[in-house]
Amino acid sequence: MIRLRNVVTKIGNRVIHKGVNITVNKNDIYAILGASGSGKTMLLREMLMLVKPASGTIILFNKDIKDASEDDKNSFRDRWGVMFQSASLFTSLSVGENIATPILERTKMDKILLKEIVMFKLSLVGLQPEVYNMYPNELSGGMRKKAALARAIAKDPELLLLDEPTSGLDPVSAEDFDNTIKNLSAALNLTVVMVTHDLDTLFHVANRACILKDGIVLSEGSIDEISKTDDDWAKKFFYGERGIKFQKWKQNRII
Amino acid sequence: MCKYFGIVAETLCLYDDWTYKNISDISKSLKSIPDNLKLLDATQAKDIDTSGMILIIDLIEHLHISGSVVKFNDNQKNLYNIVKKHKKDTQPKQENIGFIGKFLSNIYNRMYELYLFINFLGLISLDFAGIIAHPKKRLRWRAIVKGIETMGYNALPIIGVISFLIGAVIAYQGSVQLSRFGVNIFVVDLVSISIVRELGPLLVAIILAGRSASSYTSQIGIMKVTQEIYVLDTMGIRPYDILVFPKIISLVIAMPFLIVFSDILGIFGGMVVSQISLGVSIGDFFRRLNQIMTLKLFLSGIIKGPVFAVLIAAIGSFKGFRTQTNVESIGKNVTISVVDSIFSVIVADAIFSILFRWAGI
Repeated sequence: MIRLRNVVTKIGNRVIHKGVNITVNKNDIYAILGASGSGKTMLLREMLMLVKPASGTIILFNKDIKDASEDDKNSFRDRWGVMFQSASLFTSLSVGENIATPILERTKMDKILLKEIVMFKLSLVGLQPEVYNMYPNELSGGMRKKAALARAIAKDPELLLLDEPTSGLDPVSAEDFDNTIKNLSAALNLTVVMVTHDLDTLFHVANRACILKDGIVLSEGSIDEISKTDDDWAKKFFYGERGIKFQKWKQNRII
Repeated sequence: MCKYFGIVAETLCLYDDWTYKNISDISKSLKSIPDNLKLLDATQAKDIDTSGMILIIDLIEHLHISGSVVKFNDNQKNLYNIVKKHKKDTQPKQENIGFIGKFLSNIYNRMYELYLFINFLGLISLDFAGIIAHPKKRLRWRAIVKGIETMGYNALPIIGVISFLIGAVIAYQGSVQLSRFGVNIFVVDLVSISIVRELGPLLVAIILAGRSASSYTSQIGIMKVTQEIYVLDTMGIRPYDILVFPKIISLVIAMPFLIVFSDILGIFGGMVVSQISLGVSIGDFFRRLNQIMTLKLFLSGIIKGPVFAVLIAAIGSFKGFRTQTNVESIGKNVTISVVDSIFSVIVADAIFSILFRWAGI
């Protein structure tokens, strides 16, 4: 689905990525891990063609984005759904209009049918029908994220890119959200790429991950594989006080 | 019939992509299908997404085909189950108040806004009394001085240029009429009285409404969106102390000086034109100016300054506080704040004219 080869990113003179290699396969739920400031979000922006890397190759849907024409790029944009960290709903539109926007940009549709589709997406991410007419500032953080997710899946994308989907949510909402992502990806055959700090999300939802540190990928693979990474930060991440809890949780799950 | 479906022996066969891009085409051509179909076969469709599935479910309900005689492949069956589970028949009601309702509610909203503004004026007057009582603690001198710089000093060039041009234009328009009567020297009266009494203060107020009221509204509005105002409150800093009073006080101080500046440049503009097109020499101009320019006349313009300043700064800040936490509301409130402050300045100017007439000035 997505392949990054030797991606180098610079902001001014500061080197963010020294050469990143990532492979996301079809039907993966892929997590990008790393400390704050390690350039995870930047990597996501590069995949989304919002930022150009200084050098390196990015292959989306089996096509190098350097060779992609504007039409190709637009077709990529039709095939993915994106949710940013702060949900970024259009604040001047109601939730229903927010979700309808990507559809209406591409096709004309009968009002009643459109409403039906939007209501279905709302229900799919676990929101009440009443939310349809509400505005983003009337929603809680968790509902806003769900609404943003509903907007991201409006066009039935193959690929879902999520930037910190569970940050800022309470554990119950976060778990709820994790389940939503998991169920959706199973139901709709989605490939999911997400940037996350959340151990819960990582163990519960993801099946593959990579660790980004000092501008390179330390390790990539299944969660078990990368939890054996020989690195201080990774060890602290998996086996620090917060990590231990999850190791236990994982063991229980295996039994 | 069309490329998306066909009817074979009471069976509706689906072809091609039933995805959101084709939905409107499909639903249009579906209107013409007969009601007597018994079977729906989706297995030949290339691709079906959730939007397409919603349409199919609607179709099934419309045709009264029971779920068992619909042919799906496994993937489609999965999708069908998911969509079926989440598809709601109930739809949220939307309030529709109609044209007159909208009109009335707009009027009500504007009146309510006025009520809130008067409320706001009352609040800041009360707070102002508190500030006078503890000036050392609550008066933010630095913000006031900064306000005088950005809203007063930095506005000098634009106010100077516009005043000069207006003065010149008045003198020029007057020159045609005055020279017809041969009373060229009265151009001094024309220019100086109109500029000093009316145009100087109004020009300054209108420029400040455009420059300052808009910036006050957007500043406070964005601070509200990013919740900075709550932060100030929780730190024990009164938001009005830091966001409203420095603005009002700095504008009240700066405005009279700006009006004087505008008067000078406006009369200068008139002087230049009267010399060129009326032949009134600079000496004559000043002699006549000295005769007519009384302290009363001069002050009648200046005294409007602080009132206009309070109106502009208060409306600018008030509209900022009235912003809702969405982007559109900021833009809307900035527009309203500029329009309202210009409007209120002109109303206040009219009231001044009436008062001056009563007082015989």
